[in-house]
Amino acid sequence: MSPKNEKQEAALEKRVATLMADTSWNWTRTTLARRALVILGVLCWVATCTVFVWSDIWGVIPLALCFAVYLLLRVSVRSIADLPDRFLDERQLKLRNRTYLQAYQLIGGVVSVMALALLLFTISQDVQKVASYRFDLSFGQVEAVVWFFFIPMLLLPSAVLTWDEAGR
Amino acid sequence: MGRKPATEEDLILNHIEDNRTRLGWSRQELADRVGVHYQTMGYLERGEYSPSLVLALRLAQALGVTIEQLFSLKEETNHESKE
Repeated sequence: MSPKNEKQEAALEKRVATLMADTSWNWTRTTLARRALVILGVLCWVATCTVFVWSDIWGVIPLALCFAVYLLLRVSVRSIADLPDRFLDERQLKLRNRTYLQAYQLIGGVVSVMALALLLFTISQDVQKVASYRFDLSFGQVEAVVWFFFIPMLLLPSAVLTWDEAGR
Repeated sequence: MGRKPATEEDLILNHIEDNRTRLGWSRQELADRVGVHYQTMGYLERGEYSPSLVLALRLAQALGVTIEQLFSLKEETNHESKE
């Protein structure tokens, strides 16, 4: 390992140790706070996509909230969903792996719904004898589509973990 | 449809807390000795998580007892398996 990498590793180790021993953010680790954070995350996701459909600009407000919720979710579960294996003990690893399976299933559901919607759209166009499919999207609407997929990918692992931990 | 099968955690009885308090250690202290997070120690003591064989052996070693003194199958489970 190069000296630069060693330094980075030592810094990361220090950060993880601080995070694992942290008690100042314990208010985000109560059952109620955890459930509220997950629900808030879902609401911000829906709000971001909805607002961007109507406006190119105002969607950034719920989007910023999404990122704030994402950071709080990570703090709530001490970043277990994102840390490299070597920083987790066996229970945390097991939990993390189960979380990713559930998150994958959920994101699979979201993607499937969108794919199905696209298929239904093309079928309806065929039924109406439309010669070629057209998607007239504004910049905001493209953003809505992008964030529709990107936010769950960002939030889901920590959100699923937070929800599971809240039930314990 | 039968009964819901018992999880590993339902089948195992552990004496981690008894042994830890006997030695006057905190959860954090024992967690540090066996290399897990203190929260994980809470899950272990409450029987909400079954450790791997390696962790079980580490716990027994740290507490100065045998693995059989630390973990056992619950009585009712033994009866069920005999039936």
